[in-house]
Amino acid sequence: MRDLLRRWLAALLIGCALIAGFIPSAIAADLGAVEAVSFNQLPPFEQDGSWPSVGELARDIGYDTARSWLAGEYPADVLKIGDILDGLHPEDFRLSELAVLDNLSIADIKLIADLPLASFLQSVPFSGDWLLEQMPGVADALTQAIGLATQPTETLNQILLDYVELGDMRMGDILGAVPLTAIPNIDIAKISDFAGFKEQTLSSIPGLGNIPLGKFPIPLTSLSFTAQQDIAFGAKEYSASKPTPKPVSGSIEAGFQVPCVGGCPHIELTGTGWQGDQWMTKGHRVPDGRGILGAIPGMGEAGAYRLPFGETFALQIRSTDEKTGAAEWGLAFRVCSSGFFVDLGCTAYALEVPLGITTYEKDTILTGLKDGMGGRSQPVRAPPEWEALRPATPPEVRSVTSRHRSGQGRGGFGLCGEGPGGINFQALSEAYGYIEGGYSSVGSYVNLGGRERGYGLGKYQYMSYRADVRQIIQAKPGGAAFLQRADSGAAISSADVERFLTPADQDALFKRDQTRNIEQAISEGFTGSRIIERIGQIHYGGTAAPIDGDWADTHGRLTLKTYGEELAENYQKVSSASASKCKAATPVKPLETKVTGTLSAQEYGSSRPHRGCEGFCHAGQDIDIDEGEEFQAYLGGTVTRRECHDGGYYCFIDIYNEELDVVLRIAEAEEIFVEEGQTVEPGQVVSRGHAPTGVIHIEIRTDVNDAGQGGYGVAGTVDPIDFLEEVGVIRREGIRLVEAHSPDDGHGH
Amino acid sequence: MKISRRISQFLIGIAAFVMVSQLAFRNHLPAIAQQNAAPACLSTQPHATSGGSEKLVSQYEGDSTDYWLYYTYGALDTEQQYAMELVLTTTANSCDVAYWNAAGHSFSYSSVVPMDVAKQFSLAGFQQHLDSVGQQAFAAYYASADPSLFFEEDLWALRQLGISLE
Repeated sequence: MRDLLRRWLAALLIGCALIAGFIPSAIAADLGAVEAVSFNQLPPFEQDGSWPSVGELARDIGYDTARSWLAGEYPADVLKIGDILDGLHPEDFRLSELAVLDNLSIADIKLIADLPLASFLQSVPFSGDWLLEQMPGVADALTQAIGLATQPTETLNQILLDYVELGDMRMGDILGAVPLTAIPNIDIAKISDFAGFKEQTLSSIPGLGNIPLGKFPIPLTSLSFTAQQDIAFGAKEYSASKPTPKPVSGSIEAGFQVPCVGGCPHIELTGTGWQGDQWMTKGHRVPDGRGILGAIPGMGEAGAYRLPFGETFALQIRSTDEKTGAAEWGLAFRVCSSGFFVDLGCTAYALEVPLGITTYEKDTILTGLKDGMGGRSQPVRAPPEWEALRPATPPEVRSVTSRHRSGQGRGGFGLCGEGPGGINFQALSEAYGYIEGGYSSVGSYVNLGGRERGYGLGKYQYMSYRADVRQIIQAKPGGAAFLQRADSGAAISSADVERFLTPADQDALFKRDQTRNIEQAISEGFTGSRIIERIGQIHYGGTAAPIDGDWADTHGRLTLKTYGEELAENYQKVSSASASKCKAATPVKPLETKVTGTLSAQEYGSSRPHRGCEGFCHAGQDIDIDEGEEFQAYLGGTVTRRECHDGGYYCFIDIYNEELDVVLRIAEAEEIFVEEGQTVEPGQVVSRGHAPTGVIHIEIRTDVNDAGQGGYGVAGTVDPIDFLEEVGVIRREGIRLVEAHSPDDGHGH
Repeated sequence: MKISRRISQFLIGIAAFVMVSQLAFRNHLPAIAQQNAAPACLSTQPHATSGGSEKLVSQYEGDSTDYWLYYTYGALDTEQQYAMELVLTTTANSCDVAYWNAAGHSFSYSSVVPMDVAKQFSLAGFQQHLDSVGQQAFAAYYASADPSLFFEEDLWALRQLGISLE
């Protein structure tokens, strides 16, 4: 494993060195110009060279790194798609975005020519379903290559049924002479659609080598993320009172220029911009971590590190050896928890593991950008195997996170709440609404060929051909017929949209979709209002939308760039108002009557690992009440279930609150006063006493069925106290629950 | 002829030993029941009728009553992470729920079944946990556990697995 990792790092660093090393020095000095450099502009290798194989790991990463080259060969002929996948994402390019396909034949594109016919037909949507007469040259090619007589009304899929062996033949051998444009939908096929694409060299894909580094799906905006290791120092260095003068290591909390005093093993760096800088070993302890998790003893301090891979994990020097000039490297992980209602913060990068990699003087090392942020502003991707080194989360951290974590079924609160990066969904929804319309909007019919044809539907204009949209619609009575109409371009109405893709459907889809988009934007390094711009671009142009691209849809009013800008502008306008609207829209009022009970020790999420639950099992919150004491409903709604059992929940009711789309379950009562179908007011007394358990057990369930009843188990629940506080019903004071606005605090009702 | 008689006697002896052993240990081994059909009332329990699933953890065959421990899971819990214990008792003519821990409380098996049964149930649960995380992690997890949080049957079961909390 260590050997593999070492090879991986070697490959990564060699890749960096290759790119950096072959860029003319004049260009390298001007980082702005680097963005304009393409792979085809890189000069040839000066010496023979080779890369090792990753062995069995090749199966996991999708290609083998092994190769050798001769002096005089060009990098674009040597580098494979897999080599630059993580940094630039070339696989997201469509072939038609890279080159004019009109004059190319199948034999011209090795990526396609090397594929077996059967694999090719799976790669290009519907290519096997078209009639041969609609694909000029294909029938003739089949006849010439293998003597096959075909009918014009046959399809390639039909032919394959009769001639199975044809499926294993190379495209280049049987259809090599066929013009590329004869294949329907070839223009929308992405590089990643073709099997084995990672093995292909850059030069084998027409046009790819001409794309400037700044124009890739994830553009390379700077190449200065490596330095050279110079001298390795031991503990005698700076052992007196003088601090290390040029530190470039530290932590997120302490910054990345933390000097060391009193014995500081470190390596000194060299190379442009890094001359004389000092990266301390992990023996240099620095403050780190934040919030509740950062306050756990032992979790508020880390060994000095940098973050060339972003915040996923830190890169540390574990030790140095002055005699050999060696530096041993390691990774450090942390635990963060940003719950739906509570941000618990992060531990320090305190979970340290050795990486098994040693570097020596003059070796190239990965520093990340010298950005004052440890390099994390433009992270590079680490080998995925490094993630596997993450150690188990310490029990003390688990106990904190499990106490605060929400259940799996979180969501279902309409659009109230925040997504990753603190993005306000309600505001984002309204911002989109200004551009796209309302919940019943019907967009114009779009036909991109193949299955990609249909209408934009609703407030967010989700296309009717999207798999997730179709899944929702098909589940409804008449949904399949509606989709057929949408596919064919037949007229559909606003009422159809509201019926088959309800506002609730749209919002739920929106939250899932935007969460993914936000995460992509953050992973691409966007912050602040630029996140909004970028997620707008992704929404408008898909996940592979070029950053700030000038692509426009059929209407041509907005480009990717201006769509994002308009969205960000709208978001700014509505964000503060929507937050208060979110609160105001909640039909739940602070309780005006006496709030019953105090919090029991059995909190939401209490752990019982030996009983089949890994750290998180109590589905609700227990509340202590006295014998014979009455208990009130915290939320109003309809009683949808009333049952009594000998154990478990004992006597319990489900109260469904339609506006919040949640069930309040009140269980383990001695006596229930309300019946199924009855409407309950917030604060109404619904039960008395408790079961033999001595407590009342309450849950907030988001897994509501058509009858307004909650499901069972922890999945589908949220922390009920957090939830009730969030919607402004109650608040906790220590272990007491009190009205959100107590009568004597000046907020009379 | 003599030899074949001796072989027959030897085989009969082996068979008798196996039968006696099974009788002797019948009530003392936690068993994952493979051969017995599931209790008739299992499919009518709320977790099942609402689309959830279950996993048999242990079965104890008593003289007239059989005891069954299932881990049940809600419909959304497709990865079976959050078990709700279901204890069933069956006789020739009945199938009853002794306890369904839908709320996810910490509860004692011995509060609903005889202590011998409770011990076997607890042992089976711990054994599953050990199998899933491995001996080292299992031992580390319970090394500093507070014994006051465990019921008598749990402490007994842990001792069988080499962990003493007292």
